[in-house]
Amino acid sequence: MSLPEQIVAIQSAALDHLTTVATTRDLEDWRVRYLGRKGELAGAIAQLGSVSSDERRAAGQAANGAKAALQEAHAAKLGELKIGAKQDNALDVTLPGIAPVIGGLHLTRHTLYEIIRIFTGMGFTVFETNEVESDEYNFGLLNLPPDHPARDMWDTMYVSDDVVLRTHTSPGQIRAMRQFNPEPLRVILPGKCHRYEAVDASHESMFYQVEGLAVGEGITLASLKGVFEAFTQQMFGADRKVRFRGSYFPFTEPSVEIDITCNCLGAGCAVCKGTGWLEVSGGGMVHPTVLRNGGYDPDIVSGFAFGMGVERNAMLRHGIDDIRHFYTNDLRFLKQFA
Amino acid sequence: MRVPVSWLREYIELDQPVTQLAHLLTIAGLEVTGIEDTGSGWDRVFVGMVERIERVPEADRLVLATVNYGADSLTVVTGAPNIAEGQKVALALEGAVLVDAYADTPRKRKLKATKIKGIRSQGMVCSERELGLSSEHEGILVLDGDATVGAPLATALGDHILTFDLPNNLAYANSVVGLAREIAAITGVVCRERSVPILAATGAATMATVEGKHLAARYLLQRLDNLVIRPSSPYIQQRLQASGVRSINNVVDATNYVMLEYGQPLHGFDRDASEGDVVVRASHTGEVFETLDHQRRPMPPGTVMIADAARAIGIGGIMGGLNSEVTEATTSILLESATFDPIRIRRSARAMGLRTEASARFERGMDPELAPVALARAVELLVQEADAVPVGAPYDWYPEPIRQRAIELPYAEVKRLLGVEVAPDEMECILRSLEFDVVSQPDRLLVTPPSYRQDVTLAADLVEEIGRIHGYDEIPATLPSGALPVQRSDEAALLERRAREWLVAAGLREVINYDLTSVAALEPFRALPAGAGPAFWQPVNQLIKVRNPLTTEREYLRPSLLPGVLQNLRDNLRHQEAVWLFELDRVFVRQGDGLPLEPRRLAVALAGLRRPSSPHLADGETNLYDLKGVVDGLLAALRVHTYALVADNERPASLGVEIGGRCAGFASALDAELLARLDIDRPVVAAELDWEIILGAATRATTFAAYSRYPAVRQDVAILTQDSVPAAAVEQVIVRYGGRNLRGWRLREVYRGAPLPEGMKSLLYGLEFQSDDRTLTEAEGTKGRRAIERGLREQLGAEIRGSDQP
Repeated sequence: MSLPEQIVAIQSAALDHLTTVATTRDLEDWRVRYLGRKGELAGAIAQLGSVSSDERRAAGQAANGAKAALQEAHAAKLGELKIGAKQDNALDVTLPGIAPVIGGLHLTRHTLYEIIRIFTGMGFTVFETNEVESDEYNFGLLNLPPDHPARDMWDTMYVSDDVVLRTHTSPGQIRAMRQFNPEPLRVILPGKCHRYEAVDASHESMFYQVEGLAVGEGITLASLKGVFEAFTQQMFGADRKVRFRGSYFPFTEPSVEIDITCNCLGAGCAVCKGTGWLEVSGGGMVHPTVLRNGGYDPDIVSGFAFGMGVERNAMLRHGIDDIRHFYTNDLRFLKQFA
Repeated sequence: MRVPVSWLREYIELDQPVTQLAHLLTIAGLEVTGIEDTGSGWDRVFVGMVERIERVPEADRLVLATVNYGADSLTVVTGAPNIAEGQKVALALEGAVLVDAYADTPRKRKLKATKIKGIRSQGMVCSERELGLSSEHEGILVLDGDATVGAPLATALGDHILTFDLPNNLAYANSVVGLAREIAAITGVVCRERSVPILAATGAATMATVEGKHLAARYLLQRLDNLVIRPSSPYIQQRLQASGVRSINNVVDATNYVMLEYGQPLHGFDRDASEGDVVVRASHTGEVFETLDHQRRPMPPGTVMIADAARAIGIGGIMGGLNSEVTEATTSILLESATFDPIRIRRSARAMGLRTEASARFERGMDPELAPVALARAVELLVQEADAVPVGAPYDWYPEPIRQRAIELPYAEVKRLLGVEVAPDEMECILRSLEFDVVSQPDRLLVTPPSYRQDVTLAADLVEEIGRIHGYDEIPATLPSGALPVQRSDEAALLERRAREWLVAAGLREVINYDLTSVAALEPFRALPAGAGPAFWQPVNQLIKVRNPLTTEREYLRPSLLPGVLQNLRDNLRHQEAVWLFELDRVFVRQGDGLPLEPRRLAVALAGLRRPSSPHLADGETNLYDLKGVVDGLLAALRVHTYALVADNERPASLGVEIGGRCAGFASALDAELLARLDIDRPVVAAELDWEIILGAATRATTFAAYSRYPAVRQDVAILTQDSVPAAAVEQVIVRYGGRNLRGWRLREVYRGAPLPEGMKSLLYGLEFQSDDRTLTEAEGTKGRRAIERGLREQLGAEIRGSDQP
């Protein structure tokens, strides 16, 4: 056999052989055997010097052709093996895909992070404090001395006479003010709160609250409305509105309830009981006594504060009718949201 | 509080529709939570007059009544025992829709003409129950004598009942008069004043001794004789009933009526129950007293007792005594109108677990100036309703009349707090409409609140009054102006978030559990290691206990996250094929007498399939290596450079997690005994890590390292070694002998079984050699591999497969 014929034979043997190759490891063996530095093709090329010039030219062309063909075949095969399947016309593309496994945040966390995202965008800083609090911070410093009748607004779980499970995130107001005074302040205080409260579809003994607090010169009730409206429109939709209603909290003066327009946009539905408004938060201007307890001069600075339930936010956003779903941690519930 | 609009109308003109009124009140802070429309369903029910009553033959209980309803008269057969000629009654004609008084569940039915005992009944005289007014069905509803015969019942009796949920500080508005005042301020209409007869000023017929003003700021007592106890007039009964108060008798009703009307709780004592002067004193030690509700109660220390020289007859401000109850035999009473000390009332009522309408009102602070007004109004009612004759003047103890102090309100303060300009004239007008006394000065107002507004003491309080009456709708939404405060980033929160997001990307689901748990839930974890790392179980006496837990399920603050997460895992395994969970949150550790420490932990628990079953893949059961991969990957992702996962020599299938040489938790396959106790029947792997240690060791930024641009040489080495040799030992040798070009190694295969000898395993490592400054030759790779092979032979006695073996 002449050298060009040998080269052609190597090429066709290699291509035949390639049809039996099924793994990348075998393919590598194949490459070494035919295309490697000491492979068959290299062996044939090495003989170029010992043949006539005519044959050499023909063999050279054959060798170049064979090398190109085998490299191409190798690349094609490699691609085929890598994607793991031949381009098979019989492939049933209606079979399900292989889903990547991805977990999810708890709905409360997801909602909390969303709230934090919006408020940090408005220049607020996250500030976290203790869940087990002194009576003084949870009530006393918030203008709720012992025997104040408004203490009944919070059914409290006690650890001792003067230690409670915080009933709201408001004690964080005092802690944040004491840490940062006299600087102007914008913080949000997220966290778990506890109430001694019978559990039903709309009450839990444990829930998350986010408290917002802004202290400085020029902070007004109108600023609270502006900030809360900006929050509402990002959280619930650009078409939502905010309204204030008179209310009472011992630690704010004036105090307001904050309502937002319902999902029905005021048409009246079962969720808003026909009123068109949903109560989502309570707040007001920080009481002078509380500002003073935080180390600020209420004659110079003013502040607004508000608090809202995270679960309630999530319930309104997702149409959840029972708060007891949250901490049962049933994946059939949690998987729906993340 | 339920308030009939008709009652409000006695005090104020109301022009607007009731829904509009409700809206105005709600925005001003007097939240209307319900509007009931009584009479909206009373079609074909009219005011009728009973003209004649005849007996029905052969039926003792039935009568035939002829009732005139203006246009005509008709006859109805009724069994009502209280029907009488001349009464005005509610007459329902054929076709009226009424409540079925005999149905077990509430339902309505349409009235049809029927024959009873052969006599045609053309309509019906109605009971309160049939009209949907109350559950009363003993007899028919008797209307007030003023009702116009033939008028639709709705015009005589129809009403709107508003239900209010008033905040604590608006206690002063918790009455018909109080609400009328508020409406006056909001709508700009002036209240009608009721002129209450003035009681005699001197010559008290009754004396009392009040121990001190720490018990009551004011105490009034009026003797009333000649009482006739009977049911109240229909209008009183109907108003009480509409307000949600049961009618008892004319005396009790009169006190309740005045409480609803003016807000002042009153109490009538049967005068026969006491001898001599009344004494208002603090309770004696060990005193036991039987209240109106037939309960013998121990009196908490400091309780205000109403007594005579010998015995107590009532608990001041909370509840009267059974011994002085007004009964049908009562002919003379002492009527009390007092201002008891709010804190004392609150403490006693709480200690006794006896919260009454009266105590709730006293707790919030009553106006001492109101006490004589309410007393006079009650006397007026009792004269009308019970033929009472007041004897002498009321006894009035009022040692220190309250004086309201003037509050300075700079005009600028309103804008400073509300962010909206309110003209000084309007401020003044609003405050006056709320009955505040106002003196205007060039830059400020001097404002004195009325005696019933003891809640108003600061300029900020006045700003609230101006804000809510001016209207919160008028307040614009503006973003805060001025210099932005420094925004501080919270590294810890950021890292927490990064960890959660990494875990989610790794396929885990976050759970959030209650902080409170039970001894029963913690007990199975007693066997877990408690030594060097975070304590997963603590003896009960070291846990922090809640004094008043809701249930024993939630009684102790959790010392570990694992019990909760494993419970979630168990519950979810019932319906999920894969359950990979984590929780990152606080646990609680006692710290002397102070507030507990609240360190955070990370718990991970995995069980079930590694990934959802798929036709394309073999099912794989989650195992320890999944957990190890998660822990390893997370710590690396948080750039904790100093961590190590080390075999726990004490326990099988367990890893200790060390960070900077400290134990920071564990990761292990849970042992069968623990799983059995937790009622889990599948293998579970779980870890709990001390997040505070991780936080301390995590580094935020990583520095870029240039990577080699030259190709790597890859070679495999397969070794045969004793099964007991840990992979970690093999890797140590690889690193030590690999030389400076060794860039990486990866264990690709572990094999045991035929044809390998018993007790042996084969490990296949992929090696990667690379240089930063040139392309390595295959020979250099081979040289590196050989060095490693030599090391493995020498150090571990391993055989190199393919070269040491045939």
